[in-house]
Amino acid sequence: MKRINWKKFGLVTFSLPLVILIIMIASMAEYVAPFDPYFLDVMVMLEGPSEKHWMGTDELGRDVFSRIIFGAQVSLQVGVCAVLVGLTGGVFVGVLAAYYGGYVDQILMRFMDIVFCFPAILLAVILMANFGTSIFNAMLAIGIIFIPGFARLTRAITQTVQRQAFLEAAVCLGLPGHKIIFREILPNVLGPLLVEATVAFSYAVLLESALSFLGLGSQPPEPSWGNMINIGRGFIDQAPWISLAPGLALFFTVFIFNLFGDGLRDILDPKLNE
Amino acid sequence: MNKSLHHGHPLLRVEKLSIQNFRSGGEDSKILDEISFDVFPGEIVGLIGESGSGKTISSKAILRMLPHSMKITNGSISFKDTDLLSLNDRQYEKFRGKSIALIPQDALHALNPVQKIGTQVAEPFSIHGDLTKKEKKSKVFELFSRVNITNPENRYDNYPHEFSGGMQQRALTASAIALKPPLIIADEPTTALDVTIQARIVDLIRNLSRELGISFLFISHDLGLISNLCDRVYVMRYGKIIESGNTETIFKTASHPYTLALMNSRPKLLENPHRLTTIEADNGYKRSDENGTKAIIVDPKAGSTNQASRLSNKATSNHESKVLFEVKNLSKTYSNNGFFSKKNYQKALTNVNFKLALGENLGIVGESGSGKTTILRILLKLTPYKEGSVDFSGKELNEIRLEQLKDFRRNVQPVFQDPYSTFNPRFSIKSSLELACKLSPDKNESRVNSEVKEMFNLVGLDQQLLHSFPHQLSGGQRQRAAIARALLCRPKILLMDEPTSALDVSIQAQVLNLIKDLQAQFKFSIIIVTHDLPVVSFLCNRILVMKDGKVVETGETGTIIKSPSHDYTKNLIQSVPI
Repeated sequence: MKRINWKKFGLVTFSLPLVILIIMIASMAEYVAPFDPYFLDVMVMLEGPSEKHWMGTDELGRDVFSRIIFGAQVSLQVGVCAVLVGLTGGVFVGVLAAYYGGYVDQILMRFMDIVFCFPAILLAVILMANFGTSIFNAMLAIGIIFIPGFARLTRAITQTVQRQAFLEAAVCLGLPGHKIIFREILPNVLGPLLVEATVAFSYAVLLESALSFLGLGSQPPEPSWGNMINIGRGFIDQAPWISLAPGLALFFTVFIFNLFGDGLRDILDPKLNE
Repeated sequence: MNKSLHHGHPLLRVEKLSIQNFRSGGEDSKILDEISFDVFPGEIVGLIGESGSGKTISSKAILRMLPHSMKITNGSISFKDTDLLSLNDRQYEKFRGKSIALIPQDALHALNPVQKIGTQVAEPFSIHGDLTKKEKKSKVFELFSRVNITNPENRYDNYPHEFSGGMQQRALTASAIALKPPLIIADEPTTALDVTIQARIVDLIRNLSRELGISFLFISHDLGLISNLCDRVYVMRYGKIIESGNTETIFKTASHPYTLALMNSRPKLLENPHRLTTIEADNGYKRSDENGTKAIIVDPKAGSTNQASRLSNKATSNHESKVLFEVKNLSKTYSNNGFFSKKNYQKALTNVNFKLALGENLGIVGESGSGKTTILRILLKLTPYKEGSVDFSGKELNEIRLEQLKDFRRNVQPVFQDPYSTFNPRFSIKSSLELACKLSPDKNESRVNSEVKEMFNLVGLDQQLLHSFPHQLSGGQRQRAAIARALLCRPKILLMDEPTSALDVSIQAQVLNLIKDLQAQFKFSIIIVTHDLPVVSFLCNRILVMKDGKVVETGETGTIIKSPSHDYTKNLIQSVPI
């Protein structure tokens, strides 16, 4: 029997329950949140954390804690979807560029450079102007912005993998191109990409807030962590919790997703098996 | 030990040195077990052993560069009258470089890529003296000419990548002798170098020892090299010194079976036995075996000059009509095609011609950069070519496509040099082998399974290893598995790129024997690319000598080795140790 090293599962056994917990809370927000996130209570405007309102209330008297729970829905969705869009597009472009090389590589990568030069906001504005404002379009815009980064990383790793003897051995076995990409290259590329993906996730959540600030992402009063942080900015000296609480929520979520990504990479790497 | 030869004090004396590895979580293991040796002034002492024998660790202990997990548990190291182990770090720093210097193994990695060579060679002066910049520079020029780096003025400002491997090793040697230390430890200084360059570095070391009276502790796995260079030898195995004495005496009258086996396991230029002696060790009695004797099982079939090889040679002549590869006027030019940069051309091959018949073994020899790997890659259809023609069974290689390509791929299989990257690290060996097996048509799951198992047996690997991942196997095991993968396609020809150069001598012997045995069974041809002439002489009946992209000589192996006509071939043959 193969000996399994439980040590390398440590990170995942710690972070996986927390990841599940975060997703559960977000998806069952209606049942978990103590208050209606849209309910205005003018009597308790800008009130600090108390037994009733754990994380205080905002400038309209809404419960910050409940809004964070509801906001998690938007933020997680944006983060995960944008990363998926970026990852899929980036891996596709990167592997093709490295695998075929030459002109394919030049054309794809120069195109990526162009996308890279595009400010996220400008791209979002163009998308919204054509398809209307929605959270979906915001996700798409953020995802597209991520593609060049993932593409470059994928291309670089693929190129190192390509120089290794096992890849040439596979070519010499007569393995068709798609099998070489899926069987030989991709498994070796995914490890480093996973780490990059967790970083991109946090960036996506922040970008969404910038977009909502411009009215291009989630629209108030719908809460997202990004627009909560933004709104809180105006009250930072009187009621710092309005920004701080969603900021901390973002921090912990990103932290846990990062741990999860690291742990996943450890599990996927057979070299860390003993 | 031949102390009678030496009067007075030894320069370096290592006594009953034991080192233990303390692993967190794992079991502790003894790395060195009470080893003792000394180096007298002006002497070149060889420390020989295979990987894992503890020779490098001994040198690191002397230089106090042991990994943190290792601790000296017993023994002493003294240099002249100083007990090195009793010094604190500050005091020891005065010794390093000034009294004991090191020539490291991997020259490219030992040099800092972003610093000029001159500055790096001058480093000992900066650390242990107060010379002005100008004085340092002139000293470095002096050192450069001492180690035969031509054109020192221009070379001073070069960066490491502008130096060839041999030149880098010279620069490191220059740095080591900078302060004229009484003792230099050379840790496999020539392993990564071509034979002819290796021979020059060895000459250099010998001259330095003679002219400057420097003692060398020369660490190597290469018996031939040691026999050429060293006055005395210590043979190490599993952290123990199992035999020692004058080089000549050891080579003539070695008594320990391991030393004997080590000497016989290396293929020779002429008169090779059909099989090489192999040393097989069972991990079970690795350490418990007091003298290391039990761990040696000399291959029962070894030494018998045999009929089979002659028979196969005869068979070859019958098959001569069936030509597998025919290469005509093959030339290859590499160019870098940047988007904006000027095109740069580099000629890798010029007018190469040769034929290979079924059952024939061809060895392509030459130094790095001579174009031998390029030929192999072209034959594998990994590198495209435009000039000349390559026919495989009568078909031009450039015109083989689709279905024919599949056929070609199955018939022509590679074995690569680096055993570490030859398997995809993400999959088990079994899965990689099955992939190779499944590519042949009409094979069901159970047939694949049994064929993989059978081939695994044939290459001498334990079934339990089938499910392991590449990194869990040793270099030799991986190379066996790579051969198994290639043979699962039932190829007509095996193209091997330095298949044994990353392996220990005894493992090399095993792999070479294996190739011979399998060839007898599966009747495939071999093209082997190597810089190691004895390996070619052991395996091949024909030889192709290359230099600077051109074939300088070709013919029967025996004829070429006995009476080479080209100067370069002569030089190559002379450079082979023993």
